[in-house]
Amino acid sequence: MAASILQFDGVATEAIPPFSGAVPAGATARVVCALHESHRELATVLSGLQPPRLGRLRVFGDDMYRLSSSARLALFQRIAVVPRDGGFISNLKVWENVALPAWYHRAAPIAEIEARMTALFGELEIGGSALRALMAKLPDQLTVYEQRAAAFVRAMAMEPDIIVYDAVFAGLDRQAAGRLLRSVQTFHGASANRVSLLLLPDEPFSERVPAEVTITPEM
Amino acid sequence: MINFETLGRPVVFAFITWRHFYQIVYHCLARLRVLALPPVRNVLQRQIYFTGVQALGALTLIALIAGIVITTQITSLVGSHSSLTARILLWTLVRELGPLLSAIVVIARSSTAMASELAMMRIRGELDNLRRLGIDPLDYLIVPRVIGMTVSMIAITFYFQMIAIVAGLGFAALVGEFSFIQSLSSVFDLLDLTEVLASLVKALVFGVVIAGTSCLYGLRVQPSVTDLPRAVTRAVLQNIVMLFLLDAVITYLFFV
Repeated sequence: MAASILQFDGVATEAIPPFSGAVPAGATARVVCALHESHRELATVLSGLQPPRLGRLRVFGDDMYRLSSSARLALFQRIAVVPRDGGFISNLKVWENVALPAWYHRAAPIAEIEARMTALFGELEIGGSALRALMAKLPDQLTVYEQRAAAFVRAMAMEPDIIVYDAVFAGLDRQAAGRLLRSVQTFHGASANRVSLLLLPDEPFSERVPAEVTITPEM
Repeated sequence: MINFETLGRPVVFAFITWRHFYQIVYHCLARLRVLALPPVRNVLQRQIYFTGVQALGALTLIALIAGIVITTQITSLVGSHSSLTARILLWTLVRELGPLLSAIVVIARSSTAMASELAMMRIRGELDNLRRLGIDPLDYLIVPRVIGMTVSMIAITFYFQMIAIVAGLGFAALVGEFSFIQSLSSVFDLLDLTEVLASLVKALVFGVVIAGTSCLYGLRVQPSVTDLPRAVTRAVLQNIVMLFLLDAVITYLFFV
């Protein structure tokens, strides 16, 4: 069996009792939370912002919260998070937000990053004048689908080893959610060892998300 | 009876504020290399544009008026004595008013904007958004702002002094028996390294203090929108107090 890339060892938060689970390299994991509070707390823990109340979160073999703050920050060059609200910087336009991590960490020429962004948006069926209009907007002007799509492209542009999706299908119509799910699966399959972790609310669409590992922390 | 708790709280608060300010300035100096990253350079350029370039209109107007007012006062006291007028103008504008008025313009425009922008970002959780992207908020937000504001402060102080001196002497030449060229050459003859250095040090220190304080109060706002105006007011007040205090200290160190 492949080594675990992401491992929950007796992890507990205020709302979630201790739970364990492991996600091997190359797997898609579905983490289903019924309570909004559980969901929010787990997303915060996975984003490296707040250690769990109990237990350890091991990423690439290391306890994430035993690492120094700079080492933990560096870890997020390999882990991408797609937050439900996009997680944007409000005074930057969408194109600057989407390009920011790749531009910051890789220092690649901006033209190269933009070309990659255009191709990735194309996979989400956003192109031409719609893409130009989207890129020129400020984050507060985006629809829910545009927020998720832009955050997804931003994450993909970083080519991460682990990608955490925080309720990315919530609030979308079935068609948009299905389109986003197809892109999630395509992106997951693009790298053999990539781990995709989907934090999902307990709702019917979550059942449609195929995954090798399912974790239900509240059980 | 002395209430030590009442006396102690502001002292502790001042100590904590000073320590946080020192940490911000130290971080900026220790992490100057992040300015080589294109997105950080982008923030730096925006800061210089906002604090330096966009302030030029208001600054030019204030410099023109200040130069004319001060020269009028000097000539009303000493008459058409161009060398003495030039000396007093130099003392007033280069040593004191140039750095002070430029700093007040920066506080009014950029300090408030910087503190409120950072406070808003903190309230909206955008500092955490940056951490999720593996970006240290201090590297991306604070270093370019502090450096950009300091560089702008030095540049606009120099600009203010030039405009005020030329405007003052030009006005005096226009309305009185005064040679503009002769007065201007007196100014340059009297200008020595100490004057320039003191002015440069003031601009540098004011720039660092205004930027550091604005960032500090912006970053430590409570996560509530109602705390935002309080943070901005505190930043402005603190900056003005520090400005005059440091002006006195630097003047004393250079000229006494």
